Amino acid sequence: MKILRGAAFGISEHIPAARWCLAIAAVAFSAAVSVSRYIDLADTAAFSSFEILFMIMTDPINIVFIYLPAYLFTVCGIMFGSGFGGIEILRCHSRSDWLAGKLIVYAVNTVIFFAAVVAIDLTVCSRTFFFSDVWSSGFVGFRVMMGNPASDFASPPVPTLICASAAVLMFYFFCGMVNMLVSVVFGRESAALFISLLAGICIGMLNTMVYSNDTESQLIRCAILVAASLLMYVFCLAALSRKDLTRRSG
Amino acid sequence: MKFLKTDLKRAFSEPTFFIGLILGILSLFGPAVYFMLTDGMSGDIYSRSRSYILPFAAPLLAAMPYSTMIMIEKETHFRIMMNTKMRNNGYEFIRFAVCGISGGMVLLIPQLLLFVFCLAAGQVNNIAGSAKGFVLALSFGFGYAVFSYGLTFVNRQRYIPAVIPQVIYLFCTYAFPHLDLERFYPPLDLSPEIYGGNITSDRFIIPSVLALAGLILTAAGIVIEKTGETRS
Repeated sequence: MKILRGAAFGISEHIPAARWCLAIAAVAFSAAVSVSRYIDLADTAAFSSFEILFMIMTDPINIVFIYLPAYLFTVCGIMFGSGFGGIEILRCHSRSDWLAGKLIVYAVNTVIFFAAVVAIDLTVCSRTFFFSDVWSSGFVGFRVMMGNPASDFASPPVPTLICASAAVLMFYFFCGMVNMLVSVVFGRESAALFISLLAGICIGMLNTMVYSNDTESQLIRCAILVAASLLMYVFCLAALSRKDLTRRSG
Repeated sequence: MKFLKTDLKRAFSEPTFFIGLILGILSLFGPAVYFMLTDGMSGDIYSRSRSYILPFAAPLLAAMPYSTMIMIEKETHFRIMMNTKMRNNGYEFIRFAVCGISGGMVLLIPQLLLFVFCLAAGQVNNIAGSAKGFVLALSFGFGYAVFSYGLTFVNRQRYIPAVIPQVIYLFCTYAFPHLDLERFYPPLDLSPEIYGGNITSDRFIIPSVLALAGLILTAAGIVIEKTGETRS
């Protein structure tokens, strides 16, 4: 109950409106640019909305270099609300309960941000391309020509998209956990943002190089990211239990 | 006038100004040395070095000299003290000009050094064109630096005014070719040689827009601060 109260307080008190507006504007603009990019490609083969959305969700430039910084920009101040704990910890009566509340705040922010990304991308895609529940041969041929294995498209578009989206969601949540850990350790928002962004870029590029985009690989990726996120949370608990909260470090 | 001279002296003695200069020199001389070692003394090494690394890090270098220091002054209320010392709002506008000049100089000085070096080595094909490039460096640096200054009025984090101009620049660099806006491709505003083009009036549009945005943010920030002071 105290955890939920702390989470509710954190969510209601920490809605940086300006940051969210800037992030949503960046996501919308990036969606328009992505669709504009793929319109040129669609001259060679007719693509559907789900196929374009799949390309956006698996494009490292969008996911790692545009959406990830926007996401971290919206969440990087969560740990520093109300003077880094302070009265919130008193309300929750323990540091672990306070941190659990913060975990819920991070999770809620991640889900909202991700939902906004998918909604905006799908809206922009659907205005330009038609819907289809099967992969088109032109799209599969194009992806194979770009070096992706044909096994990526063994499942229909909707389940493949759901798995790809879940993998991206867990990737962002993991980066949020890294942000939480760095915030606790260093106590500075700029350090939290830059270190978690750097970690996210490394993991994102590794994902692209090592894993393919078929359903099974996406599920394995999700499982690994969930485990890694839990590990980050445990490290965060350990760091928080040792932290001197009376000393302010910038 | 006295404050302008003092602030200019301060701007050019800031450690971040020298860090920006060193990074600018490395981003120009690094490619120059590389081209000299790989291609020998053939071709226009000056133009090629200018369009290799510097165009992609220039906004960060332009914003670096003053933005962090201004945020520290804001946190310590030094700005309020200076406002009470000066009779009108001249302090913010003098700061605006100094910020722009320091941003322009941090891009101009390394290019001047490279120009002299390449001229001595006979690696400059178009001297008049290269001289026009100095004007571009000043306008580019001024625009991004004063935009960064304007951001200091609307946020409380030290890193944001230094980083946001670079983020917007990289975003536009990625987006403009896909939106048929190659005419306004941001790196061309510093190095038109990237596309082998000449200097046209298009090269001054984005820096001018950013300078105007910086001016509007500064004016809005002054009004908001004055309103807050009146209420309290």
